Order: sequence, then structure tokens, then C-alpha cells
Amino acid sequence: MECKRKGNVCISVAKGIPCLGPVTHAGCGALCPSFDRGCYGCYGPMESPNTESLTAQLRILGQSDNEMMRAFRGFNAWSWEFRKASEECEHK
Amino acid sequence: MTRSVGRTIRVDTLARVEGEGAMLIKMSGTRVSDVKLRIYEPPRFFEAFLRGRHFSEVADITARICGICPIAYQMSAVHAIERALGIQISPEVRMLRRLFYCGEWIESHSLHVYMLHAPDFLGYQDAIAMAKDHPEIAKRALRLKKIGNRIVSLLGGREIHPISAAVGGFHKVPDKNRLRELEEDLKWALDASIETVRFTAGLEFPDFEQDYEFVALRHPGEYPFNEGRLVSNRGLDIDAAEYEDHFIEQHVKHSNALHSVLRGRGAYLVGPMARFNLNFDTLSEVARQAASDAGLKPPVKNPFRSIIVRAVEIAFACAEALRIVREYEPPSLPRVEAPNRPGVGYAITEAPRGILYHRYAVDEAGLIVTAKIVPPTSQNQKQIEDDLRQFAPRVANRSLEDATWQCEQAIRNYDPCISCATHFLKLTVEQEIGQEVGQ
Repeated sequence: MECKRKGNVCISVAKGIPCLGPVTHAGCGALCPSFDRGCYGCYGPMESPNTESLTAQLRILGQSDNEMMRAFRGFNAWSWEFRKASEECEHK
Repeated sequence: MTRSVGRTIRVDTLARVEGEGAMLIKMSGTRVSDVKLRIYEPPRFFEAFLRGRHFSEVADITARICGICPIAYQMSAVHAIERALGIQISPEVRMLRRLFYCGEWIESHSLHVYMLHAPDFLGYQDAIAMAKDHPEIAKRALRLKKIGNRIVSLLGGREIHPISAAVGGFHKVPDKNRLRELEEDLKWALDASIETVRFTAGLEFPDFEQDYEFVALRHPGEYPFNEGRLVSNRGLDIDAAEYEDHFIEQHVKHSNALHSVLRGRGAYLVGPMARFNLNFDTLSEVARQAASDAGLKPPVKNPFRSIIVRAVEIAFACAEALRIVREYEPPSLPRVEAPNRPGVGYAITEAPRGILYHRYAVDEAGLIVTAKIVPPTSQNQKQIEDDLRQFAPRVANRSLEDATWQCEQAIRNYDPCISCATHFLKLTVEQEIGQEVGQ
């Protein structure tokens, strides 16, 4: 939502850059996408994140399971939603 | 007081340092039997976190090591990785990285000079109490710090844990006008920093000098940030790749931060005093002038006077930042391509508190195999203990309260960054049996 409100063009859709924005808690003002890079999820998971849908999309962008696993294992690796998503990528 | 007074100077929670540490000095008369700078904050395992990560993730992770000097951890990381991959950054990016570092020096040094160290000299428990009597000093300090933060957030996205540094350059670089917007602030900051030099030079300093081995980067044409050879006043002159041939990290029981020593020589000093003494000739004119007006010339050997040196470095960073925002032309690309390629890379950069060494081994997939990080405070620990050993006898005749205050101040000369917490003092006094303590 913050990208939309800021008028950012989606870097994932337009440039194919992997981004955790769609599953991450808002509050930073879409900082990383505004700097032409993907969100690394440092604010932690949003409420009810659709991580499955995101991993499907990331796979289309060419992300490997290992890359997605690492992405979910950032500073919020132990938060339930990111942990679950990272384990699904790990055991795929 | 009786003839041989035994006493222990002890602070269990050091105040006005970044992180959690304690000090213990055991004395009998003027003889010091034990000195320990005890760092009990738990180990943080960053080097292990980095294993198996792609090199592009490293700067985001190492930034978290410090909330005050994240740029240093990002700069040493990206430079070491760039060297491992064999890539060259553009001159414009190089300039922007210098500006980035200027911002960090300004905010970090202003914080330490005014908020953490000045209260010692003026006799206050903390900066809040100091601000009540000296509001103009507090206002100047806050505005200076804010200008440093503004540079960092303009280039890095946010003041703390910035997100824009990347292997090969930046994720995004500002245009000319955005940097020009800093000019007015920086002009004010330069004047304020010269005023800071004047203010610090007017403080009272204990008469105490040590014969240090100063270690800092040296670059022929400029005061060092990201580049140069590692030199000392005793003949050291090496490339970053040779660092581990000359410096050893040792585990000591009383500290969760590894102690670093120069092989065969022992303790050494890193940070503003070392940089100033080894690079005086490359300071900008205005900083050199401010130093000489303050009666400061190399070699400075009194660690209590490091507060003036820090102020001189703020002046340098403001002048350098001003030069860069005026001359800046954006690079054609924010960063050069960084291909996956196996290699080992080393870098040393000048964090506000001194040299910060990083080494990374990268595999063919671009993943980190091993990482080694040696921060400035772990390098200064031994020297801090050595200072206390030499300094404590000089305050042996003072009251315990006064002696403790002065010894704590001696630790703060180094702006130790254990991490980021501030507590009030909790003192425990241990007396040796049958002896009277001078209080």
C-alpha cells in the first residue's frame, strides 16, 4: 500500500526485482522500493501475509528456493509467518 | 589516610559509553595490581550469521552491528567484497561514499563530544543536567548531530541501518540538487564545528601522556575514510590483505569482545588521535587551522585531549562534505555490475572510533563462506586497560568518588562502542581488610 500511496512504480512488476513488500508490515514509507531495491522485510510480517502467493510470484521471477528461504530469514526469521514460509522453501 | 591504602575502583555498569561494560581497578597504595575492562554484553555472532548469505545481503546485515556507525560496517563490507570480486567503483561513487562517511563522523563525533564526554569535563552526571545550565551548547550539539544524520539519511534512506549502500556503488544515488540542499546546513555546521574545537580546547585536562603506537589508514592525498595503507608511528606500513599477519585477536576471560594485539608488540591505539597524528598533513586547511588555533599539533599523546581531536575531525568532515556537495556530479550508473565470482577480499575503513577490518571469502555462487570483522573498540580494549593501569596511581590520593569519575572519563576518551545502551552508575566499593580507604 505504501508504494501505491507514494506513487512508486512496482519494482517487482516493472523490473523483476524480488521484493518482500507485499507481505511486510508497513511503516517505513516503502523505503527500499523507493531506492530501486526490493524490500528485505525488516519491519516483519504484516497481519495475515499471503506468503504462498508471493513465493509463487518470486519463483516466476526466477528466484530459487534457497534464495527465497534466505529472504524470509532476515531480521524477522523467527516470526511465525516468515519462519513458516522459509521452512516451506527449505523443504520444497 | 594510612600508608598503604588498598582499594578497588569499580564501576559495574559504565555510563555514557555505547553498550554494557564494567571497570575494575585493584590498587594497593599507588600500585595497581589488576585492571579489567569487563565487557559482559553477550557475543552477537554476526560473522556466523553471514555465512551462506549472498554477498548482496551483507551490507544490510552488518549495518545492524552498530546504530551509531552503520556506515562504517557497510563501507568495510562492500569494499572487501568488491575486492573479492575484483570490481572497481566509479569516482563519483567513491566521492559519495566519502560524503556518507562525513555524515557518520559528524553525527557520531557530535554525540560523543557533547553528550557523552563533555559532561565529564564540566562536572555533570549526564547531558540532560548539562543542558539545563548550558542550553546553547546542547542546542549546538543537537543541530550538528542532526546535520550528520541528514547526510546519512539522504544518501542511505534512513539515519540508522541505512539501506542504499550496495556492492559496486549505491542502489540509488541523489541528483545534484538534492545534495545542494545540504549546503546551507553544512555552512552552519562548519562554523559550529570550529566553535566546538574552541569549546573543547578550553576544557581542563589531566596532565597525562602515554607513548602509544598509533595505527590508522594513510592515503597520500586525503584524510582517510575508505582507502589507504595501514600505518603506524613505529614503522607498520601494510595493505589490508596483510592485516592478519600483523594483528591477532585473543580471547580473554573477562571480556566478550576479543582483544586485538599487534604481533610481538601488544597494545595499540586506533581512532581520532591515531588518524590525526598520522595524517595531520592531509587535513583540510580549515581543520588544520582550527587545530593550530586550539594549540593542538601532532603528536597528541594525552588521551584526554582526544575530545579536541574529535572536534577537529568534525570540522574536517563538515569542510569535506561541503566540498563534495558543491562538486558532485552524479555517476552514469548508481553501481557497477557485481558478478558471482569466487575470491577473498579484505578492507579496512576508518570508522569514527578507528579502523574497522573486514574479510570475506565468497564462493562461485556469490555466497559468503567465511567472514571476519574486527571492530575498533576491540582493538582499543587493551590500550584502555593500559591507560587505566598508568593513570590510576595518579588519582590514588583523590577521594574514591573522584578517582572513579576520572578513571571512567579515561575510558570515555576512547568513545568505546560496546553497543547502544546508557545506564546510571552503580558503584561497589571493596576494601582490603584492616585498611582504611581514602574517602
